[in-house]
Amino acid sequence: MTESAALGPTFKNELLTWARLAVAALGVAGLLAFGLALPRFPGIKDFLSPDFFYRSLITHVVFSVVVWYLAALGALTVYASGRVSARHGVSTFPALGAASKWLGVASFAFILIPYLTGLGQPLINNYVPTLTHPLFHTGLVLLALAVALLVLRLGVILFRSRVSPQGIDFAIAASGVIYLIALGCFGIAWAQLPADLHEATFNERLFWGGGHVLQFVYALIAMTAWNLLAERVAGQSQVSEPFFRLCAGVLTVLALPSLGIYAAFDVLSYENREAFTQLLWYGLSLPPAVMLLASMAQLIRLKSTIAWTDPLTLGYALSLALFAVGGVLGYFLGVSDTRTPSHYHAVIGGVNLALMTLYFSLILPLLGRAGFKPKVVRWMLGTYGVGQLIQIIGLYWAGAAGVPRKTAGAAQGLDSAAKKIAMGIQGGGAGIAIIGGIIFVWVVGLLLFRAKRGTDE
Amino acid sequence: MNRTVLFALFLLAAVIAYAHMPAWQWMAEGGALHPETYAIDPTAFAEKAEAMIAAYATGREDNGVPVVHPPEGDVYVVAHQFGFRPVLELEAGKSYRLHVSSVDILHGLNFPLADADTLIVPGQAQVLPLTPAQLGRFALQCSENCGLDHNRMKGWVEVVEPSEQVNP
Repeated sequence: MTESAALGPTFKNELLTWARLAVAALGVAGLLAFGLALPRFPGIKDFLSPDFFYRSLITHVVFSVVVWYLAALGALTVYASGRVSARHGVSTFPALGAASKWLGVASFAFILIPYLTGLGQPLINNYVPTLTHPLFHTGLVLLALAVALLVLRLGVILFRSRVSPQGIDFAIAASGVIYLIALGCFGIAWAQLPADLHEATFNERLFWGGGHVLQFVYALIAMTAWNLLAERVAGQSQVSEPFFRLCAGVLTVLALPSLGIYAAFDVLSYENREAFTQLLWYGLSLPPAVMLLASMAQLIRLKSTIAWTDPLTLGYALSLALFAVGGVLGYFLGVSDTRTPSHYHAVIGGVNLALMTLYFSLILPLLGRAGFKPKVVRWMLGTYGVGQLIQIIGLYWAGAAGVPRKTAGAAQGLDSAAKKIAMGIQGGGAGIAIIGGIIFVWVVGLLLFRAKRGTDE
Repeated sequence: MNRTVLFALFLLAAVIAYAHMPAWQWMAEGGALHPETYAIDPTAFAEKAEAMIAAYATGREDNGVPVVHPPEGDVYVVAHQFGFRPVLELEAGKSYRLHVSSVDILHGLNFPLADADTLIVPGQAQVLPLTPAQLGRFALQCSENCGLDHNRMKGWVEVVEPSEQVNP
């Protein structure tokens, strides 16, 4: 029996929804990227509201990072639940899956409405920037709840299967546990923060701790994707199954102290802020680095047998390269300049490429929708990966020259040739990466959203 | 790798992760993270800074912010959305006590010249000892997100050659 057939119609249907939500999030984020570019054109700026750039930036970030990754976590969780459920004959809890699915769809609309209707004020706090409107916050809560339901269901399915989970299922479950820890941090921060705080401070500290923990989730999603991709590209996993479980387990254990930080340090204190920074520095480094090095070592070791022209190989290798560059840049950041986005664009780019490649290697074939042309996929993954690499070089250089982050137009203070050239390079790279992103959304969107005769609709 | 080894490794990782926090607390209590602080009403702090500006203004401005040249000792810098006031012109080799406080909301201060990375809390002033050795223009930067223009919230300290001593 193929893996696709083993997944069963209920899980395939859920997987289709979460795969669609994830790609739709990237599509919306891509459209909003035009909102970031518009205020930079002379003349057009006068027709836009003064905060149009920030409203576009915030909604773009939430869809391109938060919604995209959490929907991907939802899809992976459904995948693991389906595998374990089919293998061990455990109940599938279809009502929970259906509830989660509709909560996810509703969250998408709730997050988007304030941007489309001009509701709320923009706040560019770290990790989960927000528009200060109840609809936007409701959307975030619905999304959090939707994914939490899937994670809890996977936990129950694993518990009822009464066997030690396979490496992939363990890692996906571990991502879910870290995700629940992140939600715990958001909840504790919300309970501890004084209600009369200035909203900029309130939102910054509300999302600071949990936002850090979400980075552990994203890293483990990348590690999981690399593990799945290694099996498809190299024909075998880059590490043994127990070692992969160990990496996922250690990352989970290292995320746990985040809950204790709120007990040890006041939510508004310097120590609270720095403890999370330190947790990321020391906690998030080792397991992804080990998996990254093992993946690279395997590709080098098997270089003569690997099909380098295979688009999956290209996507996988570029994902590793981007993540490695981003990881190194993380130790050479400035304060509030574009070196910070150069680091996270590289890391996020690495995770994005791993997930995009996973769509072509796993998700679309699982859904019986793998009718894509390898040549198009190769161009897509190549332009996205190379464009991102060029962009991060430009961003890092611009930051080192003193260009502040999260600014546009005159606020960037491009008063030297170095700043202008660096920002030109980053713009060119971003443009190339956007082309790759558009091809991905177009190709995968068409395959996922077109009507298909079968049992998955 | 058997389960006992795996469990032992998990346990070790957890112990290291958790030991990190009390170590951090110990550092904090030892004063390594906190400069001297005192409570002060934001309005009173702003008045002290304005009095210093009035007494020691150079007549120059930097992007609309007055540049002052105070004598050795206590100097005052106000943090506000979205800037630091005034720009300080200090003399190399002389000793200053830099008082910083916020007059509106929570800000951060990243100021490598004084080896400072701290929070600036309204109603509380931080005192940073500073004896600049190197000539040049050094930035103070807000390090706690405080609103849309947070990333442009910068202040400046200009370190100049010491003036000649005049004996009384």
